[in-house]
Amino acid sequence: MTDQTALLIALVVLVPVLLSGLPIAFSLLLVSIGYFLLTGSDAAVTASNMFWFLNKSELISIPFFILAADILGRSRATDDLVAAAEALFGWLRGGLALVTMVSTIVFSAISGSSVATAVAIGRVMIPKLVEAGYNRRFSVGLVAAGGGLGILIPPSVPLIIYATVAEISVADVFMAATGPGLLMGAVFCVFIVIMGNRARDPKARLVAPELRPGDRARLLLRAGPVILLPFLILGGIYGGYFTPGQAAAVSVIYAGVLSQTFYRRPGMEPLPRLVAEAGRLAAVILLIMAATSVFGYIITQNRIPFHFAQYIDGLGLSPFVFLICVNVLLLLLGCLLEIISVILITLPIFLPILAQLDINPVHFAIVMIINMELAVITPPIGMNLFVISSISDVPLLRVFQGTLPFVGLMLAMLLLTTYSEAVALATLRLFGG
Amino acid sequence: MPSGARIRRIIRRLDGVLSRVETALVSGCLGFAALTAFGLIAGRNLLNRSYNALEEISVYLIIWMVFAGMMLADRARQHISIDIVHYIIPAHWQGPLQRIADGFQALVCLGLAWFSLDAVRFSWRIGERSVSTLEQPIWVLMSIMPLAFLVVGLRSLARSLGETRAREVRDEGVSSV
Repeated sequence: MTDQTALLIALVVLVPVLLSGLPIAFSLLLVSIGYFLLTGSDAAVTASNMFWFLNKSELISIPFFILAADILGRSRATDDLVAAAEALFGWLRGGLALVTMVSTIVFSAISGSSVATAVAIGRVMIPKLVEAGYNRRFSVGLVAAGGGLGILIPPSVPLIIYATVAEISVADVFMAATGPGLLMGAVFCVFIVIMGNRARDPKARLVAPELRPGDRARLLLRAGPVILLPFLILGGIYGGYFTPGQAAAVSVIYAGVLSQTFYRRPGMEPLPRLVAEAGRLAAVILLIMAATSVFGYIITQNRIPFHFAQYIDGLGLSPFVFLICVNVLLLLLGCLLEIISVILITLPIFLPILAQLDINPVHFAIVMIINMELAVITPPIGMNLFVISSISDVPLLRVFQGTLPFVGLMLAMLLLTTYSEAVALATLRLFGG
Repeated sequence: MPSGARIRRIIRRLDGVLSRVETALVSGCLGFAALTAFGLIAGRNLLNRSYNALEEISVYLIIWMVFAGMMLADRARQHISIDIVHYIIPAHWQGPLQRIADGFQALVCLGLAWFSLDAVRFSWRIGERSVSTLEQPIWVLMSIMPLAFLVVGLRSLARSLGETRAREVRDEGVSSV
């Protein structure tokens, strides 16, 4: 059988196999093996491809960041972080909602994961918001959308995956994403200040405690060590003290020490169990990546990226129009597929076109990750919707309704970063990248 | 001749031991990888020495963690899948569909166990070594792959035949990216 026919069969079979509930990694491996057998190639390539893909030092940061976030998320660090944000912003109009968003932004800079952020902050803040009279739809939407910032504000696992596949500097992508991440956080905060009180029952009692200046200082000091972590990570990378992978290892050690001393929560799971759980989750993600690399090998072997690049060239699209088309495609794919798979499957196809249209791959990273942020809060696969629905007992559809205003803001931000490379790469340029 | 019930008891006991080994491997590999990466930084910044072998060891530990974690995740049914169909179809069809998916998983994992064994044998035959400080034989590093795929394949096969039921673990911690 010809390679093209076998590839066509593989692609056609992949869709029902994925939808059958077979894990994504095994679905990709099944069609890849099928392809090799149909074309008479040696299927042992599957195993060696997976091994050599995983044999990369950039990837070690993924389990480390997941572990650090998990350790801090289960310790008292989140409560202290929220208390500090409350001490600073609790008195403002829409105060508690603002506190939630600020806590989300800071936790995003620690966790690298949108779901970890949504769960850690949601568990503490959703009951508080509801108690303070905010309607449930607004409260869950706020946390679900805010959690999405977890994959844009560094350290972010999807950004590491992007940089690894695109073979560009993780440090550059981190630095570039900091600007749009913080900008989006700021836009969310402004929206909350304007809209927050409208979503609140004015008759409900305010839960913001009366604090003396001394109390405020004490709360801020208690959250100090966890707030220091993002600075430690980014400062260490840009100061040349360590690589992103080593920064992730430092964050694990730092989080481990803090969780067992300063932020120890009574009844917290023992550290070895947390390590095993984080390792299991990281393994799931890395296995999908390895499986996608095998599928990507097949795609590349058939010169699909080259043919696609030629086709796009023939259309004579401008970079902006191309990016708009990509946005539409990514938004659709993000609704149907898990975000890591979207990045891993589409990126190798887009990369040659980026070079052809002279689009900076770091700029494209920002555009792609904002698309993925939207994917985590849009049904039917939006992971943040599922976890927030599960921890708050609010139906999935109502969580989605709550995120809608934030979806609008994210779309506006997506358009801005798509159109303006200067905005997307502002922090990278500012710090001489 | 052992009875069917006795064989099942032995398999359950073996599975319990395997579960502890998987957990120990995952936490051991990840914990030790973090320590070696930290050691590398400490060595470079405090002792002004570069222990490149430590970074290499971290990478190998993570590779082993991935395949041990694959076994552990399968046990708890925590591999990421797109199960839209399960929300749409009637409840009484969900069991059979899950068994079909398990059957496919068994097929792919047993196939991969065979093909990865082939890759390990090939690597051993040509004496492939890592191009780095340690010059480690690659077949040793790859050897966990056939084993892990075999375990997951056999477990999936047992599930598709209705012999075992994977524990559904609801984890409210970090569940996905």
